[in-house]
Amino acid sequence: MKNKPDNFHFQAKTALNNPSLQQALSKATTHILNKRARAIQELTDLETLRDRARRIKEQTIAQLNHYLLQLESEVRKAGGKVYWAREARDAQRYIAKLVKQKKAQLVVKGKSMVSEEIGLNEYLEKLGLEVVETDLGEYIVQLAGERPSHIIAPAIHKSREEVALLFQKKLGTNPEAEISKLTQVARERLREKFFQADIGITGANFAIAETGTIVLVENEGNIRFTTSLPPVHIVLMGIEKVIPTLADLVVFLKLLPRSATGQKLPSYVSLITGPRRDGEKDGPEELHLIILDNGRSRILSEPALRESLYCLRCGACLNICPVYQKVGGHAYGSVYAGPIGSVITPPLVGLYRARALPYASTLCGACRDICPVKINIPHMLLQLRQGLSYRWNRNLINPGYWLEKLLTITWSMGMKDEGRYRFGSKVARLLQRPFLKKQKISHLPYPFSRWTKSRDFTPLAAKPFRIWWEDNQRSSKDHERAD
Amino acid sequence: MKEQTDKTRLKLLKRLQKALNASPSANVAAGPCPASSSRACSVATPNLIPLLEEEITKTGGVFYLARDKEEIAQYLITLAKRVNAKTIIRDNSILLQGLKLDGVLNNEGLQVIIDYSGTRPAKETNEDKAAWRQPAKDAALGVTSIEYILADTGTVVIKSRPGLSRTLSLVPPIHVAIGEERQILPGLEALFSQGANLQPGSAVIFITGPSRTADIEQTLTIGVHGPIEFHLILLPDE
Repeated sequence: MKNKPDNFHFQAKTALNNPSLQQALSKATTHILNKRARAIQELTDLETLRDRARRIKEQTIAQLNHYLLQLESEVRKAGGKVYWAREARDAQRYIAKLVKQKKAQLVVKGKSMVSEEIGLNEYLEKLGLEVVETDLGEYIVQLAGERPSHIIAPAIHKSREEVALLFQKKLGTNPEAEISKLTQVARERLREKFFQADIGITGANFAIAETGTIVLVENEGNIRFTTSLPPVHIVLMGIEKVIPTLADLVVFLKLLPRSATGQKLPSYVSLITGPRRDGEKDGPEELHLIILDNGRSRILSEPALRESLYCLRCGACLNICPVYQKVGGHAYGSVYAGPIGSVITPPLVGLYRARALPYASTLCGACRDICPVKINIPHMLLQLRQGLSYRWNRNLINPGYWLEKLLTITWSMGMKDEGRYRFGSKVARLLQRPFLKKQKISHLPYPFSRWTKSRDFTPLAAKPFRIWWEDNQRSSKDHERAD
Repeated sequence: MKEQTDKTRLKLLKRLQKALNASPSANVAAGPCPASSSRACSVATPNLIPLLEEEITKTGGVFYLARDKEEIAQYLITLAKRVNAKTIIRDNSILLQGLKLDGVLNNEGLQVIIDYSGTRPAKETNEDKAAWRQPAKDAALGVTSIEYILADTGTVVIKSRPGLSRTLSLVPPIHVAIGEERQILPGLEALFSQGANLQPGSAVIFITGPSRTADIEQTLTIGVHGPIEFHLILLPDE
């Protein structure tokens, strides 16, 4: 069964009860966070850089039309083609047309979250194509028939033993769980695919409006292969990926790798401007840039959510999030997991379907503090919760609404008057008695069982504070007198 | 393929404009971005070679400071012998031509292929495709010149062009970059302040160390798709 945002609670529970996943998650997130902390420390002007990065994103998004048009015209000048896709299916159809025209059979892919978002692999496979993910983590996830569970480390949830078993089952290799050997298997298998592929598809980390340049950041070299060997290169980018100039890129190249993998610079940064030029032996003959909206303009029109478009997809907020650290990426049931995923999934798939996600946060603020562009994620989660509760409360047949209302009214009545308060606490003490075991309440009847299902309820103290205080004062006075 | 009809394009643009209007950018500060305290590159450049060496070594690459041109050939021979290489592919740059490596390497029984510029036929058969890719596939060493060197990250910048194909620094298991001291820049800022130089070229690649991955259990593994070894040989200014 495929995970869905609607099933967050169930999926989270499944993840919490999976000990090997718990181990993998804690190991991986701790490791990446340590590496990031070391790399970030080297930046003496970190705060200035973050402010600059945010400012560049703010200013670009505020004039998005201008920069996208500039990008379009520069890409065309460099010999590339540009396609504007309003919905996922527009992009799918455009790619399908290209596939047909080129009589393509094999597509190699570099890691692209947008392609996950539009379900490109399934779509192309239905058309009878062989689609191969070439990033090692993505390759593993694809062989397993799963989805990536982390933006940067898609197979973060798998142990080496699981990968070895998977490779044995799918590729018939030795079940040796040695990481270097497993990597070697992927190298050999995928090398041939690169040479045979008809089309290469990648995302874009940045697109430079000034020069029409697509910037891709990676460590493995699979993106370089994907952009160098197949005769056609398709770039899929969300509208928010454009930045004005090459000089702006410096800021992001300093922040993104450090935040994502704790590196100063990754092994490879590719700046691709148009298809190959006259006399060049490799590089694609055709470069197609697909500029995708797919719900992003909805985010753009919401002042409260707009800053989620500044996201660089570094994954740092996932690693630091106490919820992500426990439930992992799959529990969210959406392409974008973690704190930023909980913000952008609702506008992309619909607030109602993703209603559990804004609550999948403790609002501790760690995501905001770690974000290289200072996105205020907790604030946006609160905004989404507000929107949800407004919708929810209009729904007058919702029994939870009436119960909650009843409780809050009773509560406020009790808190406003001393007599009522005393009476209320007396009644509560009586009511809690049957549930009290060893000074704890571990089980309550429905609907309160939803609280005690995952944690104890703290009972009222046997003696009210007021009485304890009086007794205490009296006894200390007794002592003084005795002295 | 046909250019997109203006209708869809305009519809999307209109939608964006509407979205922008719906949420006016009140919170966007006007004016220039705060300046970064980047080191200017024109101030008397300190000797960047020690930093460069340190950074390249950190990323798992090998740095070698050659005293003269002869040492470069020797370095390549030793490297080729270590991995039992038979074929080396190199670009056709003036720098590499000037090193006169080919004869010396041939004498050691090493075949040297020189990357050429050539127009590929519009309609390629599978044999054609295989033929132009074969040299890089056969070579154990890819030797390239470079555009710039960034000291504070240990990075080399390569711009593809006819005679310096993208595959040279990608397909062979060992990539040897040969640069000159004058190409060293302090870092990224200095490079982009010369931004104009970066524009041409269908592909400009920043290479920092060998290919790597940590996708299985966050364990660093060298050489997943790209080169397993990265070497930078630096020729000091005379």
